[in-house]
Amino acid sequence: MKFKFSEIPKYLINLFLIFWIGFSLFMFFWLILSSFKTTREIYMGVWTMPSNISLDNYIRVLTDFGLLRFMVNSLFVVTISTVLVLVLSAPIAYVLSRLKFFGSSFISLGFIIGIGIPIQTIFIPLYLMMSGMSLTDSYLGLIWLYTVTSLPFTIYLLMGFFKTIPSTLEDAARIDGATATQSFLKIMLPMARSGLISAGIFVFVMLWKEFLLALVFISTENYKTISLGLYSLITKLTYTGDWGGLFAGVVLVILPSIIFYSILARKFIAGLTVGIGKG
Amino acid sequence: MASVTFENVTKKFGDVVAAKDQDLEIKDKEFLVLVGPSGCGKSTDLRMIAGLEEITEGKIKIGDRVVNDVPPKDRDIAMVFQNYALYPHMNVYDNMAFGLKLRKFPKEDIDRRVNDAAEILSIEPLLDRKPKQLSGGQRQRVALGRAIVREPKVFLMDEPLSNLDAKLRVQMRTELSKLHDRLKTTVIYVTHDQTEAMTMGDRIVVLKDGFIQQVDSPLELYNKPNNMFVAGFIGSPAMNFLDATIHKDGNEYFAEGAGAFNIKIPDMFKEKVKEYDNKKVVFGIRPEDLTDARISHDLDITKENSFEAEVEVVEPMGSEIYLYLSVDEHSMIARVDAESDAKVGDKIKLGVYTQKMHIFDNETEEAIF
Ligand SMILES: Nc1ncnc2c1ncn2[C@@H]1O[C@H](COP(=O)(O)OP(=O)(O)O)[C@@H](O)[C@H]1O
Ligand SMILES: [Mg+2]
Repeated sequence: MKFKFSEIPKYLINLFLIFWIGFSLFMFFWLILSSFKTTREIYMGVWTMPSNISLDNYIRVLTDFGLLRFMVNSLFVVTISTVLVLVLSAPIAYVLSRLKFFGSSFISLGFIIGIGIPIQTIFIPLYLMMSGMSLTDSYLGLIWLYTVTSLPFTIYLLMGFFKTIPSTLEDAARIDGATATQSFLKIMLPMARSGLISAGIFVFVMLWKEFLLALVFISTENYKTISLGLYSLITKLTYTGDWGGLFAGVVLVILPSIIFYSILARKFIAGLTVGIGKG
Repeated sequence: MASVTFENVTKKFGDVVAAKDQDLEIKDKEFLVLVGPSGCGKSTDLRMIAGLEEITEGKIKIGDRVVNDVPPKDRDIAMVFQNYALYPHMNVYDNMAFGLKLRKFPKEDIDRRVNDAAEILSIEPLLDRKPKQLSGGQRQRVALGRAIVREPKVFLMDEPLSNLDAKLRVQMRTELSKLHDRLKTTVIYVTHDQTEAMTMGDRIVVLKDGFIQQVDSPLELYNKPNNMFVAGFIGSPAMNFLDATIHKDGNEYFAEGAGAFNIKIPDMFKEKVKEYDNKKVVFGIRPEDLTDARISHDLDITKENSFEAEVEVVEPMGSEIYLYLSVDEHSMIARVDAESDAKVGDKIKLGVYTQKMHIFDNETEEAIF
C-alpha cells in the first residue's frame, strides 16, 4: 500500500512536532547551561545547576584557545562580504527586474541557476581560479568567494522585491526631475529597505556559519574563521576533555544567528515572503 | 502657460496601436478631458505629453516647442496619477517638496510653495504624516499638491478621482474645477467616466481604439455626436438605437422600424436623408427625448411622432421615472416625468421629440444628423 501523509492522524503529526521542538529546545538550553559549568559539574549530572555562573569557559576559549581571533576574523570577513553583496545585488536586481534589454532574461536565468549549483561540485575549478589569482589563504580571497556565492540568491530575493514596487513611482520621480540614479537611490532603495534587511540578515547568518569554503581556501591559523576555529577547537578540547570550553565555543558560534533570528524573525519572514510570493 | 498640440501623433506598442494619427489642439488655460472606454489609449496620450512614452510618429508641441525629444523634467508639466504614486517613505511635506529639492530651489522658496499649496488644498495639518496614515481623499490632495508646487504650465491628470468613493468624487470634481479657475493653467484630464467629462471639461476628446472620435464642448458632443460611438458613450442612460429604413412618402421622409415604428423626419433634416431613401439606417433617440404620450403637455402626439412599446421595468428616480421598454424584441429606455403611472406589462404609447432624433449611417456608423 502506498504511504500518504494525509492518512496520518493530525494529532500524531502535532505530537511529533511538539516532541521535536521540545527536543531541540532541550538541547539548546542544556548546551547553554553546560557552557557555564566546569567539566567536573558536567560529569556530575545532566540536570545539576552550575554552582556559580562563571564566564571562565568563555574567557578560556576566547583567549587561551584563540577563539576571539577567529571571531574577529569572521566578523571582518562576513561584514565586508555582506555589505558588498547588498551593494552589488541591489542595483543588479533593480535593473534586471525593471529593464528588458538584450540578454537580460538570460542573465536573470544565470543567477537563478547559480542558486541551484552545489558549491562542492565546483571546488576544483574554483581552486584553480583562486590560486591563479593568488587569492588562496587570504582575507580578500574569502571575501571574494563569500560575495560571489551569495549574489545569486540575494539578487533573486531582491528582484522579487523590486517587482512589487509599482513603476508609477518611478514615473512620478522622473516627472519630479529625478535621474534614473536618483530615482533608484531616493525612491526605490528606501522602499526596498525591508528586503535589504532580510537579505542582509540571511547572508550574514549563512556566511557566519560557513565552513566548507573556509576549510578549502584558508590554512593559515591567523586567517581562520570561527567555524574553522571551532573545528580545530573540537579536536583540541575533546582530547583534553574540556567539555565546558567546547560548549562555550559552540554557543559563541551560534549566538549571532540566534540573536538575529529572534530579534528580527518577524521582519525577516515578512521580507522573505514578499520577495518570493510575487517573484 | 501653454497650449499643447498633437500633429499626426501615432503610438505603437509592438502590434498594438494605442494612438492613431491624432491631431489635436489644446488651448492655453483650457480644461480638456480625454474620455473613452478602458484601453482606448487615454493614458498613453497623457504619458506621451509627459514624456514617459516615446512618440512613434508625429509631433507633440508644448507651446511652440516640439517636445518629442525633451525629457519629462524639462517639459514644464506635472502629473497626477490614478494610484497617486506618493512616495511611501516620505511624509507629505517631503512628497510635495521632492521635485523642488531636485531642482535645487532655495529652502525658503520650497517652504513657501509647499505651505501655499497645502493651504489651497486644506492639508496643512497633514504635512508630517506618511501617505499610509492618510485617507484616500487626503492622498488625492497630496498628489494634487505635489503637482501644484511645481507651478507647471500644463497639468496632466490620469483618472485622479477613480479611486475615491462616489460622494467624495462628486465633491472633488467641483474642487478641481475651482482649482483650475484659480491656477489658470492648462489641464489635460483623463477619465473613463462620461459624467466627469461632461461636468468638468471645457472641451472633451472622445477616444476609441486609439482614434479621436470627436473633439467638442460637452453640449455640442451631447447634441451633435459625430457617430454612434460618441452618441452611445456620452449621456446616461445611453442613447437608444433602433434599426430603421428611410422611406419616402409623398413629400415626407419616414424612419420605419420594428413593429409599427414609423417616425416622420422633421423638415429641418429632410435634405440630409434624401439620398438614404429605401436604405438601412440606425435611428437614435436619447431616453429624455421620449415621453409618455398620456402625460405629454408640450408635444402633440400623432401617428408620426409616436410608437408603442411594452413596459418591462419601472425605475422611479424621484423627480423622474426610467421606463425600460421593449419594442418588438428591441429594448429601449425612456426617462419620463414622475407623473407617469406606467406599470410593468402595460402597452404604452411614447412620444418622440423629433427635433432631437438622430439618424446614423448603417455601415459607417457616422451621424447623418
Ligand atoms: N507599456 C505598454 N506595453 C504594451 N502595450 C501597452 C502599454 N501601455 C499601454 N498598452 C496598450 O495600449 C492600449 C492603450 O492603453 P492605455 O493608454 O493604458 O488605455 P487607457 O488609459 O485608455 O485605459 C491598450 O491596448 C494597452 O494594452
Ligand atoms: Mg488609463
